[in-house]
Amino acid sequence: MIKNYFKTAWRNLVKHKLFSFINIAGLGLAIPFALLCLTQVVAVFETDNFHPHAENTYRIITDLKAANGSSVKSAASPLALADDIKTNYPFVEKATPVVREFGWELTNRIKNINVNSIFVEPAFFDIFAFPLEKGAFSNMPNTLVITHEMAEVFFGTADAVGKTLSHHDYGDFIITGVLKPYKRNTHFRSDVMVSMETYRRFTKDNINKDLTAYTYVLLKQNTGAKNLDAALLAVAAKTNITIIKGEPILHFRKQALEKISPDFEDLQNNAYVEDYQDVAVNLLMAVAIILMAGFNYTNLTLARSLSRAKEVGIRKVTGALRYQLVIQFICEAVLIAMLSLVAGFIILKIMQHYIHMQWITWEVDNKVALWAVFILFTLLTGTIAGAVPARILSAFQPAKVLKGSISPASFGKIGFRKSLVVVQFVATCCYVFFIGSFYSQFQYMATDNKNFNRENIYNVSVNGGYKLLQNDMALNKEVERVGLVSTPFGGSSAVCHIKKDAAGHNNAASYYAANADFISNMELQFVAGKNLPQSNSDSASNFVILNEQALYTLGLGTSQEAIGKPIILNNDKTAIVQGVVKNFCYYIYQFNTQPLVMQYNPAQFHVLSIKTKNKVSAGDFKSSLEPVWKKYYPHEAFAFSDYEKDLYNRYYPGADMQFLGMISLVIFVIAILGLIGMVTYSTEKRIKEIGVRKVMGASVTAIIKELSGGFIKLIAIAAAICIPVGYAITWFANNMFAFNNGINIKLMLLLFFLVFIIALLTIIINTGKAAVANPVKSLRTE
Amino acid sequence: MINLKHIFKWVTVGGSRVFLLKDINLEVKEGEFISIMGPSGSGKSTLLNVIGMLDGFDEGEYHFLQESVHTLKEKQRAQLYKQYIGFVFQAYHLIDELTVYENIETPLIYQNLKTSERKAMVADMLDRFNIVGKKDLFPAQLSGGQQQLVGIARALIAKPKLLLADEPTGNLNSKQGEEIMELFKQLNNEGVTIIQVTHSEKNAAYGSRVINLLDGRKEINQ
Repeated sequence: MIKNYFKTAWRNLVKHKLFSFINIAGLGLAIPFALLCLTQVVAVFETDNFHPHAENTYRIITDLKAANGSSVKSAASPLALADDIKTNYPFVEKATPVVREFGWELTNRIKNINVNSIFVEPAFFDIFAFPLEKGAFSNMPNTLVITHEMAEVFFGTADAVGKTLSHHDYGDFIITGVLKPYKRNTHFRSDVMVSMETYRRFTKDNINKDLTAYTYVLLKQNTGAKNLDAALLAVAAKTNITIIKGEPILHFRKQALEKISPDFEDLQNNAYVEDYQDVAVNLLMAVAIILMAGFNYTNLTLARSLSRAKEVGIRKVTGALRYQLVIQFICEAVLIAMLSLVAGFIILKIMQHYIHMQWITWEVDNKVALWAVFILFTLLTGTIAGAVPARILSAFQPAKVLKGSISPASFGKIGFRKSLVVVQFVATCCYVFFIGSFYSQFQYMATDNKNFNRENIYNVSVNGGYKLLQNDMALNKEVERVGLVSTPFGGSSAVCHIKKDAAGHNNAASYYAANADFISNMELQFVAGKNLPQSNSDSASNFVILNEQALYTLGLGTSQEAIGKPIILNNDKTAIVQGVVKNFCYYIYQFNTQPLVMQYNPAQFHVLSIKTKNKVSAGDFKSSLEPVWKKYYPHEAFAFSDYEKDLYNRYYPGADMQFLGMISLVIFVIAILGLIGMVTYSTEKRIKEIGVRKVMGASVTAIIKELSGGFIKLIAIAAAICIPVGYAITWFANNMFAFNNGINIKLMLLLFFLVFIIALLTIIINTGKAAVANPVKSLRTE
Repeated sequence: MINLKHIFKWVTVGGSRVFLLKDINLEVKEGEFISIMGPSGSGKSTLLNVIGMLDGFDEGEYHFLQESVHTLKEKQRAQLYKQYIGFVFQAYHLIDELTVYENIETPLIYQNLKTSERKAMVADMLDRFNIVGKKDLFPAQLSGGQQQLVGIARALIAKPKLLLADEPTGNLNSKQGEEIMELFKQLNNEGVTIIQVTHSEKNAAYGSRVINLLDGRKEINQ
């Protein structure tokens, strides 16, 4: 019987190709996002499942019990705990601490990249499976191993081992090894693993009490885990002796490695472990997306219910019971959902291929479980989407249907459905505006030349002696000017402290070591004073250039008044204000500008900023400079970069924008489908009327006008709401950025018209189809 | 077999009742072949639908075999109907998406018969109506007469005791119509009770008894 249902369902799909296509496409576009959400859920249960001794590995977590009885659970523990356990308890094979630090930015002088960092010890690599591709892990201070992917970002195909990366607080790091690519789904997620010795050298924490580390313990084979519980009690008792009265008491307990994710306990400091709320949110998202798309299926199927009514009548006459018809219609919806799953899966694979987003898991290990979830979900989708039409269609009275005296079924009040169309379009438009203004802002950030000049600038990274290289490169016929700088604009900068006079208090300011040519290259606008004097000296000069914000912070009066005044740099050096530049954005567009100091300081020059006379091909220009580089540094790779391209990549979040763009497309398609459903419904309902009008001599255009009038009104209402709301959204999105390019009216109008013209076309095409139909057909009964 | 007592059916239009059927009393014995006649709007099809349990009525009693239809629940009525009654329509009403074979098979599917049993029964029926060669065609590929043959085959497949036909020859030319009526006569001889609605005196003559309706009321037999 089921086979028979699917056969009819399939033939129905093939017969009404356009309708089937609309349904499958509508669901198929929404399904990839639901599948993604489900993939995240499955992936959460597969976190850290690739370590060799998982059954004997535990993390030590801490309960902080305050004197008033309240208790806080934390995933962290004191740094000293691992050493303590390892030395005092023989059943412990290995114990190691891990410290995670956020907000790291590393630079190879050419590129500044935000990286994810953890501090580890050699034992870490014995317990957990993070094999090295080349090099080795060294526990010397200021060494690190880097992931394969991040090594590529910094150094391309060149060997990263032995290279240096700098951090503005910790100083320079030597790369001692490169990790093989490892599974992303681990709570040790990081781009660099830094030697614990580095941390120990710099930390000011109390390593016995402060919960700054994560402690992992590997027990010897066949050791009862109970021993560990007893040991933890003893260690906690020892630690708690030193607790000052009023501070919370520590209580340690073990957590098996495979129990870490998902987190059902709501632990604090539990970075990169999804908790049950994240799992629930992902599930809800999947359901919400599908409900939206499923609602359209329901709507469209009902709108077309007349074409199925005859079949229902006949089947009932031949003896079908109602439940049998219900099953048949649900089978149909399930078939559509399954086909959409196929379409959706293909779309998902395409997305995976083109969109590279760090925060999304695309692959899981247990494919069977994943597909079981997918298929179960699809069955559920089909059943829910098919249930309402099935209920309504199966209730048709055969005597009425076969006589032809029935009108199409609907769902909810007509006013409700109309307002739904308006809401769908307003929501679509708002979302599209939101994405559009971000797109416009990101494009501006990625291509901006107004704050500082990026055009025709190429950077070469140098270490130490640069003078000969600088002079030699300046001889190249394309080169206009070679500037020198500590680190180019567009990344985080070094920090210095400035004050007005010896008695004043210090203010933090961004510090750039730069020469006059660099400032010319950047085409900064002076509001007073002039550029730094040209210099070839080996020592720092005492002239500085400030921005207006620095003047304001120091209280130096107007920019004219400030010229020639002394300020105190880093507590002891007096510097003279030589020039003041207009405030400009040199790092993050969201934030207001910080005080900025630029000074000629050759000890800190690390980058040659080369400006070419004309536009040149980066590749050709690089190869024309490379021999010069080889002359001075025959054994070092030539670190050359196209500044414009670098900053484009830095400021334009391509993958995220693609993803958001996809979402707006899906929302738009869903809104259009809703509209098609409404229009189809109303034309089917009026099919006889249209026939009569045509027989009376109405032209096709007159009928289209008659049919579409009501919908055009709806769309006009939506448009009227969208203009002020859209403007507000755009304004709001723009003002999230201290440096913005204003509202991009042209783009917004384009998006606005795109949405509404497509909506209008949808209405006209659908009513047109009804209008050109032969009236004889619709008027003939029997 | 069928016993209708004081059947009334009405619709309310503008506050007053318009009677579709008015005080219909009818007794049909097994093996009869009855023709219902009357002008358009006289209630022929309504009466047929009431007898076929496709439509309800507002007042009166309806006994079918030993059951009192007016007291049955919808589900029981459907069971009764499914077992004993076959329906033939003027517009054939075949399912366009199904082949001839599948159309004839449909009632058996709803009786939950096994595939092998269904196969045998459908094959018999195709044989009997000489349409074996057409079994894989879709309704749109058949002539009107052939479609009506399929319609009748479908109505008969579940071996009903009562065959209801609503102007079965209305859409056919006279030769096809004659063939269909001959077929009805033959079925009636085999013991199937038939009630048909018709406009044609000639078709009515095939039956054993004629009932005339006017404005929902049964006229006295001439």
